[in-house]
Amino acid sequence: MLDKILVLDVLDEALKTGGEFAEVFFEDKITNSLLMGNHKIESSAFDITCGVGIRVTKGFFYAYVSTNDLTRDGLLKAAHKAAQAIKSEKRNVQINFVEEKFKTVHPVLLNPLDVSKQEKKEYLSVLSQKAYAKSDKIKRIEASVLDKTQKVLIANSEGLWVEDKRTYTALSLSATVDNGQEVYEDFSRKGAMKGFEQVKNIDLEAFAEEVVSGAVEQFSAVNCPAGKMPVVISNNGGVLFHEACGHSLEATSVAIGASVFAGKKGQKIASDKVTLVDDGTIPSAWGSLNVDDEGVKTRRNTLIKDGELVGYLVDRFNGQRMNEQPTGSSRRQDYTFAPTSRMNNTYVLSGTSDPQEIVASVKKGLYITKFGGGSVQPATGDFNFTVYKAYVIENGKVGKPVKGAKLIGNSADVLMNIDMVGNDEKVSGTGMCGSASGSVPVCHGMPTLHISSITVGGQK
Amino acid sequence: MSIEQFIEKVVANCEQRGLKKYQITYRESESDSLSVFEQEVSENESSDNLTLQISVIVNGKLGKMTTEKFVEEDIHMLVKQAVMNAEIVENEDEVFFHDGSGDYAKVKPYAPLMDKLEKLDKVAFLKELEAKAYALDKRVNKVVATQYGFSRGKLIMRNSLGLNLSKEEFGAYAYVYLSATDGKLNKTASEVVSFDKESDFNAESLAKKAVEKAVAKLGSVEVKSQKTRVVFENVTFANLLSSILGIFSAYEIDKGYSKLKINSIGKKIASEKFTLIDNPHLEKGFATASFDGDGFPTQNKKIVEKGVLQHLFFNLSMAHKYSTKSTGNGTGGLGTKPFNLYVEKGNITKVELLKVLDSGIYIDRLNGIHAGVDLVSGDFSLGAEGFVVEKGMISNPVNQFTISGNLYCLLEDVEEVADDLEFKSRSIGSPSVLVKNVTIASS
Repeated sequence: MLDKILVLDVLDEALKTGGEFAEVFFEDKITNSLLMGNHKIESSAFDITCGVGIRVTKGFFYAYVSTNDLTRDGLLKAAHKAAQAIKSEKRNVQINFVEEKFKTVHPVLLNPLDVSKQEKKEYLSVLSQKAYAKSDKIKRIEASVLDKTQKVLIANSEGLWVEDKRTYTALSLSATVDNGQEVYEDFSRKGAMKGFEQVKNIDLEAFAEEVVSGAVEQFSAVNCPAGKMPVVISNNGGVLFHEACGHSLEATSVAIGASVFAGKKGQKIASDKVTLVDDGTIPSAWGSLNVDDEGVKTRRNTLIKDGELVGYLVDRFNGQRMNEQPTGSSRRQDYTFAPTSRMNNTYVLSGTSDPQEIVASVKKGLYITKFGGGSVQPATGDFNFTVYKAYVIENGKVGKPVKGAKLIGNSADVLMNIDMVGNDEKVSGTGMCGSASGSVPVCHGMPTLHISSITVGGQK
Repeated sequence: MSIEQFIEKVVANCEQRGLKKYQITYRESESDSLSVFEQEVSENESSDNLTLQISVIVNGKLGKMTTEKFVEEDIHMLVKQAVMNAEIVENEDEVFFHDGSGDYAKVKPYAPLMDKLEKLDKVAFLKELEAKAYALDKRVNKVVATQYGFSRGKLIMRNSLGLNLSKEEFGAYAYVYLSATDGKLNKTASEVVSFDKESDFNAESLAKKAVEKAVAKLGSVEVKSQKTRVVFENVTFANLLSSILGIFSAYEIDKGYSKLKINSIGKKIASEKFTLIDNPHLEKGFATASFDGDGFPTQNKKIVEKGVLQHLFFNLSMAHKYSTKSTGNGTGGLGTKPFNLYVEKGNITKVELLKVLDSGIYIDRLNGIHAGVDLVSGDFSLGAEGFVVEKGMISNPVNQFTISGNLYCLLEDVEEVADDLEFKSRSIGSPSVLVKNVTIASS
């Protein structure tokens, strides 16, 4: 970590030209990965990311300079560069750091840096063997383990001094199957803000079964019907809300009026059945943090309550334009990115419907159990995402799997069309969300729910 | 300690350990960007970044590590990590460093018009860009972002076999992203320039292109779900191409992540109208380079010629495995990459191409490309935007719809290619392309 006196000097230099607020974000991160393909380790990597991002703001302007020259001269030079963008009178600011201490709610029981590559390899071997044993149609199994240990220091001109250590561990599996005519792949990642115990606690047998059966199942899949239809999404499908409304509730686009939900606080934007929260405090969840990347404690933010828009995800800088306080949602991929408002763990709360009854109520439609990635344009509300796993529903019964499905829609319509919400809420997923401040880990969640009408794209 | 000294110490440590094969790749990059919002400078970002990669080959296996932390005491640990990474690898694919032999082409990569760019008042340019965007059409309701950026990078590659290469890279752009509204629905558009042409210095023309694109989409109608013929706008087809280029990688094929096979070379895999070129020597190309990530000389080649597969992307390791020569598409790791990859232009104009289409859909934007294409099965399903084409003319805009199909079939279904080849601030280019058998779904 950096020395307090040096950070003080850097902040002082950054404020020299009249900046109102200055911040230092220091990061020292080790990323380890090990990939096994076809029973053999194919690659092993060890990377160090280390540097500082200095931010100075004045009104609705910010300057951000990042560097990995961590010498005193290097840091002062970077601070000077950031200050150059502001031309005003220096204010006298007395900075007294008050070190904020907290107890982490994301304990690491087994530091992944203490686990040898050999031991990690053993787990990949067992997982691979289990996966190969699941089917005679397997062409290739790929298993990998990734761990990241990020030490951060966030200090600012208001006297904030926070240090944190964030440890992530994830196990991934992909299966490619080939029946001589068709080739399919399925993939899953199980990650958490935990140490290597994350891998040790995974039921490898069940993980292998989940992924291999997902790939094999596609041999019997039919082309997805296309058009507008009712859709039931199981409680694994939380990414729907990430795209359909999460991004459009981020201050990044709301503050400048570039979101369909800007200025709609207090208005109804979804059906009464929908209550959506973004919670950065869930212990050990992949998308959680003790403090965000501006050093603000994460919290549970309610965004939509019974269909009414009640809150946005707000970072310090955009909060000024909106006259709102930060919500502990400011994040960045690494020190080269200025932070901005992002999601953590976004999920819909349980409703009252029985999931089985929801399915049974559909005469003809689609049952979706797994989504791939998607995207949204906050300014229009148009979103799309890829469906990895879905089945036709006929007369209330889940039937054949379908392939090649896509959902598109507009946030405003789709949220209103949610007319049944199950009682089986679940937060899951080990997602990586890419946006303005880079790629950050996120989780999603929801109960089983029914959308009365949405456009499904498919080949039939 | 300077970086040069640091590198010398890394080399010394490798030698001390008795390593015969080691390689140092060092990157220096700096970038600056500026944004204007509501006629004020809203953001000014800059970064200086140094990255050092140490690669070693131990018993034919590759081990790598990268660092951004240059502390002398760490050198021992850094090299050790690279060696440990090599030691755990079991894969039988042998890896190689290159000794620097062979002919390296003299190339002229993309660079902005520096004199003119240095004189440009960037803040004034962005202010004008934003103001003009609002002034050009009153339906423009929000200029979401205007940004200018400049970057410069330097790469040095050296290894124990005698390789010693370096190159410089530049980037420059101005960008506008805006939305227009008809009172009910918003439509967005963006436009970018790369300051390598005189006309790129005109803020008004940049604003105009974006505004025209956004307002043209207003008043959109629903399109009928159907199987139809479509024209992909040049830049849009290039976007699609960028998501499928992995199918031509020998590495991806070797791992089964492409339907193509190594012995597909010489076979017909696409329509005879389709020719795909990877030209690392393209003058002013955005990925123009004389050597690849393995340090091997790059070469100009046709990947697909009139529908017949001619080359795949080979790096040194895959070339050895399949007893062929590297095509100079190495990454320095296991995978491969293309350089300036583009569809060869045809003989007819875009206007004539639309006449050939006669009736169908014109697609000028694809959404969710990063997730909607499965290279293994080839199935794709994407969000799309565009216009109805009637009697060979572009007519009504249509609401977002989906297009689906199979990319391996799509290559066969290319019916005609126009002559409007374009690289839009990137290394992947295409002319507009007419394709049949695309399934469209809407409400």
